[in-house]
Amino acid sequence: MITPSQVVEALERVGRRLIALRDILNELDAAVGDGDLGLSMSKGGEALLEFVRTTPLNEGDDIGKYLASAGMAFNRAAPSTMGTLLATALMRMGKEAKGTTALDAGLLARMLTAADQGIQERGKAKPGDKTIVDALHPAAEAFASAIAADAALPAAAAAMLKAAEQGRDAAIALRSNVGRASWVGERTVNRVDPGTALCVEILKSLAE
Amino acid sequence: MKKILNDPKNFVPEMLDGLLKAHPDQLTYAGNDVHCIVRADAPVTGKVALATGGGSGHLPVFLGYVGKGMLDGCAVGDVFQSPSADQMLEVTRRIHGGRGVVYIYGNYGGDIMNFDMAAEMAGMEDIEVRTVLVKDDVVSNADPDKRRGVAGMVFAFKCAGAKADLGGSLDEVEAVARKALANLRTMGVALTPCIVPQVGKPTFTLGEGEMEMGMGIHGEPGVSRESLKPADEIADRMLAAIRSELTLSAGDPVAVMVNGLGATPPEELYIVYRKVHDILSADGVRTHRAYVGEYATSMEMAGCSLTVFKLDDELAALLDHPAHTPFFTQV
Repeated sequence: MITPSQVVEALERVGRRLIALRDILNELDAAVGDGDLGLSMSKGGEALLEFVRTTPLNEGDDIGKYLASAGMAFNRAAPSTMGTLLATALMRMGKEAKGTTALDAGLLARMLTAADQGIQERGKAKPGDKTIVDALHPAAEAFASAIAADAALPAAAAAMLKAAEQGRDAAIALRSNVGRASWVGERTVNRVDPGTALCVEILKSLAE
Repeated sequence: MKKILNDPKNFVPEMLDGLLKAHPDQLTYAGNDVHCIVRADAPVTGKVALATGGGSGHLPVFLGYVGKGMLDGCAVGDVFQSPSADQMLEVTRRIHGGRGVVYIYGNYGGDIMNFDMAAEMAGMEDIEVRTVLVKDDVVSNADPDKRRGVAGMVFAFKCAGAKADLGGSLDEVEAVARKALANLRTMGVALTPCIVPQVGKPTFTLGEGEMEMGMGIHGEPGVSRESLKPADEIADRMLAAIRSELTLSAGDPVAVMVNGLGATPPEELYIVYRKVHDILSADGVRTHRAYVGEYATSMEMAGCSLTVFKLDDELAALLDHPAHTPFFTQV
């Protein structure tokens, strides 16, 4: 079971990671977009740290509502498209976990699936469009099937990360179909999609 | 650019400050943010609440219809920019009277993303939200689901607002909004561009003696750019475009709106109205109510739009129901 304090620590790890990734993400984004992904994600990361500092999550509190509020805080600080997509992921995870005070493995799998579906819906992207979905979708599927096969949480997390990395690498050869990067079309081929790279890093910090 | 301004970046907050000071009996704001405009008496307990939102630059749309018999709240963005999800959520929380909230707003990507976020968040707080998108601009896309929302939204505000005022349930208010929108279409023409204060330049150019049929209220391209035609021909063509989708037969009651886009004087709007009325009467279509004036503008754009709203007994009664807002009064 994931406890409230582990939820808070996971958000802190993601926040710190987003801040640390600023320059790398800016660079990846500059090749295919407007080069400010790292900036908006570091702002979002700072907002997450600020949120956990100022919003206590105690034993017995509703973890779902907490995650959804974290999503709103993230979106306030990072109102860009990616910011809205990640906020949506947090909100959908929160919706899935509404009313619970600890997270078991089955619920974690449903939360990750809900995040994947939420991002696909809001961003109107599907696997193969060369977006964050290309890493997140296989990761969510791998995690859910590992949990369904009664794998222990660390093993399921390892399978999730491996699937995300494979998804990121497989998308390198693709051409961007949606979002700002699609405007430069051919130029995106043989480049890492910044969204997939971001997804791998976030999942890593969640899994730690 | 020649505008009555202070610092352009304060355009929206200063406008809102003035509005709140002019109408303290009718309007206030939520969440310590003047962009979150709500009825002064919000929440109205036991009533389904209605909210809208969108960019500034279209007054009276959107916030001008907040008041008794119409809307309960409105999230206001910067000029032609969506308000944030957070602002919409603040409005939603403040107006919720215990029976749910209906969002009615124009079909624009940024607005949808933010309002869907707000609706989801409200759901987490046990406030039920329904969303009705306005897509009345008949020539803006062949696919009816991709059309923009323009002046016709005022009729949806009016009828759904009346239904809520009369005690309608969340389902009923949503259904009325959808029914109204299914029975109305709008078509517009632009003669001159508009200037966003912080940009300082016109959003597009139209030659002297040119007009653009079907142009959007943010300057989105229309269907044809051509030499300026006489008022009767413009009226005739706008009505024909609407009637290609909205079947009107002898005896049908309608409401007609001839809406100025910001810089066209009411005299010219009445010249257009006259022709529309004559064509409809010749076909036996009965004009139940006419609205001629500025209802949905685009800063100082010159031009007008025509909306025809086909009524039945229910919609006519709801349209006739009293309403009182800073920009719209019906007794």
